[in-house]
Amino acid sequence: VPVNSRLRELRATRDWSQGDLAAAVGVSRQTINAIETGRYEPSLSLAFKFAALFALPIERIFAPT
Amino acid sequence: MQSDDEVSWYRYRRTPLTALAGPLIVVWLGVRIALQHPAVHDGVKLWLVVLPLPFFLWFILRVVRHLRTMDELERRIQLEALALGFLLTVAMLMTVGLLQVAGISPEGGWSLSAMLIYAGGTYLIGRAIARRRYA
Repeated sequence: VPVNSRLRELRATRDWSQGDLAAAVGVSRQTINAIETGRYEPSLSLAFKFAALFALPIERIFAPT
Repeated sequence: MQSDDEVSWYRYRRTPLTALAGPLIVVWLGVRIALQHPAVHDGVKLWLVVLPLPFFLWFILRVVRHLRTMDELERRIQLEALALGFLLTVAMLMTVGLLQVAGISPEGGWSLSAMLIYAGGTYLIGRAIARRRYA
């Protein structure tokens, strides 16, 4: 199931670059870009890191298209 | 502030996987050239042949360490690169096999060294394709 993410939107509200977000969750900027553009779906553990970082439930960040 | 794990991760990210093979390739090529020298005694040749093995071991350990420091997307890219590279190498070997059965062979024949270079090339092609997919 393809997954939509709100990462770009959430990142923009905090004025973070892709590199800032990448460093915060310990992945490369390429990974953030691939997730935002829908080319890559993150693992559950990475999704939990995003959830903890943005203090939101996973389903508020990622949703099936 | 970066944790030790993050600092380690960035340090290894700066070392390309292909660059890790540098010392191994230099030693291997040096041994290959030395083995072809007529003055090298047969007894010495055996020692020369095993000389690259510690470098192979070092390279394998570095690659394993490198893989552990990659993030999940880069690991997937490496997996896809290896899968594509392996399949391209198999296709090449099967074609070479058929060429040999048909009695068609390039001048000088097909050497294992040429196959090694081909395998490295197919891995790089596979990696480029996989990276492009997620770019």
